[in-house]
Amino acid sequence: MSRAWTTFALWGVFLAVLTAVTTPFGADVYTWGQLAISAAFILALALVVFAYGRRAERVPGQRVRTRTDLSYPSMLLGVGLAALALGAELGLWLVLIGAGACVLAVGGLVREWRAERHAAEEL
Amino acid sequence: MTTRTASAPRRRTGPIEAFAGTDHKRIGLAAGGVGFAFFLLAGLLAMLMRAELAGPGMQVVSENTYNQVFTIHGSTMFYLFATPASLAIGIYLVPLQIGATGIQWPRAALTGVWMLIAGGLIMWGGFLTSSGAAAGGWTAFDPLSDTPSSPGPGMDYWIIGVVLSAVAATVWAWCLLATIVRRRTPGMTLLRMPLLSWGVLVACLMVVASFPALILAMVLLYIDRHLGGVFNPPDGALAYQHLFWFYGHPVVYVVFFPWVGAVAETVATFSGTRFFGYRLTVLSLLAFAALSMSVWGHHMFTEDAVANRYFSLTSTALLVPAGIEYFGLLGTMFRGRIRLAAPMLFALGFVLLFLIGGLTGIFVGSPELDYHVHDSYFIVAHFHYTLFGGTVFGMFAAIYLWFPKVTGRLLGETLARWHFALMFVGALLAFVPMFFLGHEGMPRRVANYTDPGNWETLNIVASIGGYVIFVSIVLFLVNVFRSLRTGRPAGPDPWQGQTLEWAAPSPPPRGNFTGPLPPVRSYAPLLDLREEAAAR
Repeated sequence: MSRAWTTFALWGVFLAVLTAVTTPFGADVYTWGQLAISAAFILALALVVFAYGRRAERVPGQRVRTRTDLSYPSMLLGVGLAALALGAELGLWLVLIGAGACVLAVGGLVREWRAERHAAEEL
Repeated sequence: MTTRTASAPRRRTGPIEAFAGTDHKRIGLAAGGVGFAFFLLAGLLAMLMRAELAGPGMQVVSENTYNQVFTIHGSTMFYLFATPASLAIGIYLVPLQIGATGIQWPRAALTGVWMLIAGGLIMWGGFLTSSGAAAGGWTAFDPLSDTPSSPGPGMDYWIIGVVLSAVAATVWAWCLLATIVRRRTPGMTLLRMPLLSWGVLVACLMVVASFPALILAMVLLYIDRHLGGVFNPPDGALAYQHLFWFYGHPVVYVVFFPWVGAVAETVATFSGTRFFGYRLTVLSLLAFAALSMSVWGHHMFTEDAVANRYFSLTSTALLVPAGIEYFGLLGTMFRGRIRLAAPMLFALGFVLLFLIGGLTGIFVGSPELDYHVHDSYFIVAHFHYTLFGGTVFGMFAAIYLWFPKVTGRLLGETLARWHFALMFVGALLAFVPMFFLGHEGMPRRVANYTDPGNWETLNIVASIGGYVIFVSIVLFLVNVFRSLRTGRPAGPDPWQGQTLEWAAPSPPPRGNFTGPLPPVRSYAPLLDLREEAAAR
């Protein structure tokens, strides 16, 4: 089984120790709070990686990946999200354009995924 | 789980296709290319600043314009160049180094490229607004960045640009972490990954743990500017600083660790030996990264509102893992036969210049000394030795090392040596005088100063250094364009590399490898093969 999770866990433990060390120094809530949240987050991530390793062990074998060379919907999604964000400043018209671009992009991504899955099945 | 990739045959890449490809190499080149373009733009702003500061009085720009220029210079360097470039090298090289056929979630990574492009254009778009670009520094401290102090849309554009670039970086970090967890070739355990991949892994851990704090700070700042009520006195400014520096200090290491890995591989390759103390260096990278998540309060010593002794302890403790890494680099060179080619020269420049940045970090990690130099040019000098000496020299070491892999052609060695010599001398001329200026009390972020005796001389020397760096970058660009057209063909492994990417053709095709991979029994599988062949 992959032991990648140990790296995440070790790093989370490092952060937890550094959080604990704040106590004798009387650190404020921002200091230990931010450190504690990041330590807890990384330890949770280690758990996820551990669970993934167990699952991958149960489902071994080769998987064929097919991938389109180009993905214009991914491009459009990036631009659409940027337009949405800038719309907060420039007005509703740009928010609507951005939202429309995002919807189109997601539709395109779904088409790409389906096409790739069919291609993989044919292989 | 291992994977095979089925793909269409390769064809010529147009300019738009270069930014729409799902291959990790195209995504990495696009992200890195955009980052480098912003590096050049931010460099031009630096030239403008050095022209203004070459003498006392106002010569070139107004004070308000100067504030905008240094704000966008610093912001571009951090948000649009250093972070994207540091992750871009991972997007390009990590899959190759771990024997994967691609990156995990390539579409998300591609979306990130376009968010970076849009974010950069929006941030720079502030110059076109009636109020000008943001002028509150790359940190945008509240109340400098609130509506009364920074009216107009320029500051809002800056916030949106920062959010987009930070989200892009976070997406890339997740993609790279997932790639390392899920796509390693059989035999490639984490403790057999090359040090560049380790540097990228550690940087990505820091990104996913710290960048959300920046995104939150920016969203709250935007709400505060438009609706108010978020960063209110008396503690609002302090809360903002805590949030910002929880991102702001780790990012210095995010833009450093990948280049430490690149330099470590450069040094090992050009010393013709294995990296000395690999396992200890990996452990020190993890400890270094954890410690650097816990030092942000040293930026706030003078606030007198943080646990100074705690942050001084953790800041000083950084010397231990940094020392281990330096020991590893020096031990590798000590054991090897050194070839002084361009990548190695830049790696040595990295080692020497970052040492200056690291040692002067002891000053700012000590509250008593920090009180003297806080907000002075000493700080500017210190962080330029860490960022220019670390990130930029490391980046050029990496470019000279992997350019043949990426393009199939070698860069010209003569121009490369001139590039190194000028950039090294320029970095000393530009930033050493700033230590003296800061020690004597010249504040940072000023367009004008009264000369108490030698400030003008020191500033002129710093400006000359800046222009020398500019010339060196021009030489680099000439070298790149010339080599792309007429450079010598590189072949798959021009340097006698040690890691898996050198087993792929140059440039690597889609899917990366054309034949079976060599067995992975250590972090240097190609060196293993050479040693086995020599032993037979």
